[in-house]
Amino acid sequence: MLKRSHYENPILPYLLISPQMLIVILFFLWPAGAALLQAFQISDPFGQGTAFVWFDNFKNLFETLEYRQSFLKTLVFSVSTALLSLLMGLALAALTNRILKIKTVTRTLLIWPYAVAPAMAGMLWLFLFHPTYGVIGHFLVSNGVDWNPVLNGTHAMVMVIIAASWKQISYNFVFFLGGLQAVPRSILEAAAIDGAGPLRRFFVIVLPLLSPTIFFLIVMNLVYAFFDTFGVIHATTEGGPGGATSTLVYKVYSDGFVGQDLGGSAAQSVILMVITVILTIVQFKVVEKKVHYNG
Amino acid sequence: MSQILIKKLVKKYGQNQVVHGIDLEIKPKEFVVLVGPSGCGKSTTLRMIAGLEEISSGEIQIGNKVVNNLAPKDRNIAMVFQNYALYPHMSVRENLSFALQLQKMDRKDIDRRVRQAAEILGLMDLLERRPGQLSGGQRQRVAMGRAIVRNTPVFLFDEPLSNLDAKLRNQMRTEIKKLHMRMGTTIVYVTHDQVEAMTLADRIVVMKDGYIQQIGSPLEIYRNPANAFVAGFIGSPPTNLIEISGQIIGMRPEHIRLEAEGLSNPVGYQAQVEVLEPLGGETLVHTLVLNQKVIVKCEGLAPVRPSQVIQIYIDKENQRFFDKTSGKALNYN
Ligand SMILES: Nc1ncnc2c1ncn2[C@@H]1O[C@H](COP(=O)(O)OP(=O)(O)OP(=O)(O)O)[C@@H](O)[C@H]1O
Ligand SMILES: [Mg+2]
Repeated sequence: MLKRSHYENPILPYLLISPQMLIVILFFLWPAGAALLQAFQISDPFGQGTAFVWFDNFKNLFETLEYRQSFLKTLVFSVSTALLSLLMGLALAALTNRILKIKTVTRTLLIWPYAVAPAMAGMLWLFLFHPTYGVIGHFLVSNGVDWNPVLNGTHAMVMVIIAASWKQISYNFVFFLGGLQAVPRSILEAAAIDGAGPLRRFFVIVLPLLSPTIFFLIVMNLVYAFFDTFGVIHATTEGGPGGATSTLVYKVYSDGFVGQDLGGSAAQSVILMVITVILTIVQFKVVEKKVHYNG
Repeated sequence: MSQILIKKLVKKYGQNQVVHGIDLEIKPKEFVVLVGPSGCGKSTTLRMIAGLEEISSGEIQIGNKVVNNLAPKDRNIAMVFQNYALYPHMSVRENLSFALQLQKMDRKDIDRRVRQAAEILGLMDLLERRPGQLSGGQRQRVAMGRAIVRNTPVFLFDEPLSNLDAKLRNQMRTEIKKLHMRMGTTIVYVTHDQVEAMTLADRIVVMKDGYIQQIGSPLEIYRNPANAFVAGFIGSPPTNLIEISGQIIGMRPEHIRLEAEGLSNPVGYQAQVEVLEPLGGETLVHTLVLNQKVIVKCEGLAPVRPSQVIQIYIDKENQRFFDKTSGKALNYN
């Protein structure tokens, strides 16, 4: 049981949380509510009138091939991004963990990319990968690879995945390093005496002990890839070429603000909301139940 | 023939030397206990034997083979850790069979060994549980089981009982002793509890600040401590050490009497009673002799009161004398 604090003035606690509540209502509940309402309406592009159409927006969405393809693209993008950034984060953390005394400076540097604004990160990778003025792009092209993310959809997708996962590596790194350092040294020593080499210790002892962290990060990374990558995509490809990198979250923006289909865009954001809720529920259920060891 | 041979073993952490060239020979089937106060280098020494800590200089042989550069798994040893170090995501059975599986042992042989160990340790009903579902004593048994199944000639123990409560500790102590008699393995056992050292060891190695103070059987060390430190460390309560006219005199609490009768060659000291600690069967009388603490262990109830001034007596041959500066024993008889 949480202990209840007592205030002499009964209004004071409400006053104290009111700024936070105001922000939640203003920037979260209200827009979410508006989106929900809009998802069931169509409005004309000039905002002159709206009509209530029930589930027509949703029906239209699932009837368009483009939207269904975007679902698939989002899946590819999200799973690849999550996988890549998890693997990189784990690899970096495992290497760092071997160094007994990592300098604070080094550790801070490893966390830096997380603080870079998404648009900046996107630009950075575009500058690296651009076929004419990018270092990596130029290297690839001059080595005979037909590399062109500006025109080739698959290349664009690869670039966006790399850019998006790069930003998330630091986040994973921090959690993995924490998880690794929580593995008791004596357990690894016992395994070493039992005859397990470093690789086997990692896969048979460390990874299972990390599984709560891994699971948490999988969900967090999927959530990130699904919903938080608008900036990166916008800065690198703007969803192109030809919609090749237009993920669900990007389509919410492009259909709504560029295409002026407010109802359809709102319906898309409602679908995204539902996905988040499902992911969150799954996370809580599994964290509660399974991947949890004590002592 | 020796099972473990340690020559001029040194451990440095950076510039800080914590084990200063110790020599030790351990015979097959011997139960050797390293004992000493916290930070004296017991664990470090044990971990160097295990191969978990690099050797700064010197040499360790196990089974007549120099093991300085061998990995822990190639030293043919098993180790029991203070915090048990069980694999939390594996069942007791998996914990016990892990090492055997790595040796690619036959499924049947593994089962047989695991069952044997589990029977010895009373773990048969717990084989499918995870460590998190066991009590402290049960975890301790699993940790020992993990060593037993391997059937190595050498077992290393680092304070295996210090996380248990007093009653369980006594019980497990007896079990370890029985286990040693039954298995006949060489055991190196680290503890800072001198009762454990006295009761378990064939030979005790008393350490302090990275040096060996004395090596001997429990009785030798009890009767003839090599220096004031050993005298003051071994025994419960430990030897009283008081300074009289430039010499340190050591007197065991159980050798001191409240009357001279029955002693063949009594020496008397005037003492002021401070506190009484009745333990039922015996009483510890805390006194001051020349303003220095002296504990007297009497049978039954002591017929004295706090702040009373009394005479205490000890047989001359039960006194030990130590050099005031070096602490070395003077009349080593
Ligand atoms: N990794 C390390 N780095 C630096 N110094 C260390 C390290 N491990 C141990 N020491 C030092 O070495 C000395 C001996 O440590 P050790 O662990 O062997 O003591 P111990 O006799 O086992 O004590 P305890 O009864 O408390 O376990 C201590 O002074 C300790 O501070
Ligand atoms: Mg220790």
